[in-house]
Amino acid sequence: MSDFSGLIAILRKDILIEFRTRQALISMTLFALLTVLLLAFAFEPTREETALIGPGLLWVAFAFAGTIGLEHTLSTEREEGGLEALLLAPLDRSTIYFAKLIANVIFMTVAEFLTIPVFVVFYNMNLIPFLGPLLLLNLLGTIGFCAVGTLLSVITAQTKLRGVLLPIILFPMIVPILLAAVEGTGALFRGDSPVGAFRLLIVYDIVFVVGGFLTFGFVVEE
Amino acid sequence: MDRNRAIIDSLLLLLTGAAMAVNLWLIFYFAPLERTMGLIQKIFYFHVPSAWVAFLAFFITFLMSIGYLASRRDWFDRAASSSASIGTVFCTIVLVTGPIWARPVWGIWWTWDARLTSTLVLWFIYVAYLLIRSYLPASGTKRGTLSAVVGIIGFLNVPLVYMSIRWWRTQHPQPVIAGGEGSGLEPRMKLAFFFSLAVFTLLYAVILRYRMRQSFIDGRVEKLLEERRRS
Repeated sequence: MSDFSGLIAILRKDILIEFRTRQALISMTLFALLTVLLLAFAFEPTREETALIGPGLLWVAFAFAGTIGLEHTLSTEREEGGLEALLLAPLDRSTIYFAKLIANVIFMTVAEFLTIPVFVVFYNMNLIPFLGPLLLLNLLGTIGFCAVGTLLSVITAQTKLRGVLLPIILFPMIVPILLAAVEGTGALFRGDSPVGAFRLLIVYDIVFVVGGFLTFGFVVEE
Repeated sequence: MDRNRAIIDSLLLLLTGAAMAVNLWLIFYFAPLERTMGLIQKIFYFHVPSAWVAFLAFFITFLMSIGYLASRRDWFDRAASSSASIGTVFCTIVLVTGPIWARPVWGIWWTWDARLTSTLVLWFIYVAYLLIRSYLPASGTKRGTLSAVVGIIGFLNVPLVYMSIRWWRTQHPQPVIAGGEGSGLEPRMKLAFFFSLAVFTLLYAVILRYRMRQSFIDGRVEKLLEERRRS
């Protein structure tokens, strides 16, 4: 089996499982929505304030939801030794990493795209003029988040505390991505140019994806 | 051999103790009082060397982690984790002494400046490193391998954090903070500062020596417990 068809096979399996159970998507989206709701109650922002705190608020919701998603994709593999079976397949370890990364990015992006319309309604924001750049920015931020997250979730899953430790190491690691994504979204909300944020996010994505690709082989070995 | 080690140990401890005493004298009596900041400036002689030791320690953790993944020798893992725990302690000292100095001088405890924020993020990363490590099984190579990966990517993350906050700051100009302290240091202050830097580095080396020894003893105890459980 070539690496590419192996990647497609793993991806197909993950998407099929998700399509049938919808566990990850439902819990991630609901969690993101609830975070948006709670923060709306906590701050009761006016329209001007929303433009100011909205980007940070959205990304806090995404980060929380993403953490849940990362834990979920791994816990399904853990049941009945799914990961071991996957490692026995005649595939390069990096193929498994990329398949998991892409699956995580897809789930998290869908959850984000379901959260954004609700954010628009709750906070009376008009995002239509810059919807294209906003979605692209989300995608870039999500790739970086999942590149680190996929690697770290496999590490923390092997500790006695399982998923509990994931946010503790994941959140300090994603500070640069979060900052760039929040600043980029903020620039869009204010009508400024988000080019700087895009450039930084692309650099981070490359660094984290390459880092994950190089070290993933070590974290899944037995 | 044990006797030689005991002699080296006592000499090292004596030397470090004496150097630390001299260091205190240099800081509080030899170096002149800073004109505007007064006594609070003395914290600089502890704060900056602690920061240097923290970064050095995390850098050693990074190197030893690479060494472990390349060689799988237990020694590298113990060196990496020992250095990380010392680095975390010194990083805590940096984060405590910083605000104590900043409050009277800047008028605020904390600011989200690039250097402060990256030090804080660094602290969180290595606390997480130690926490993850403590929840991994001690037997086998799993603990060493997973810790090494966290040790490597955690260290690589720091320049990215620094870069993004600097970029963020240029987007939002903040009130200018006190200029570079290294610029034009009084000669006696300079002497006290560099001496302090050397003493802290020595202290780090000595603690690392003991910490690693303790780590090896830990390993032996774990092994004995393991054998006892089996029999």
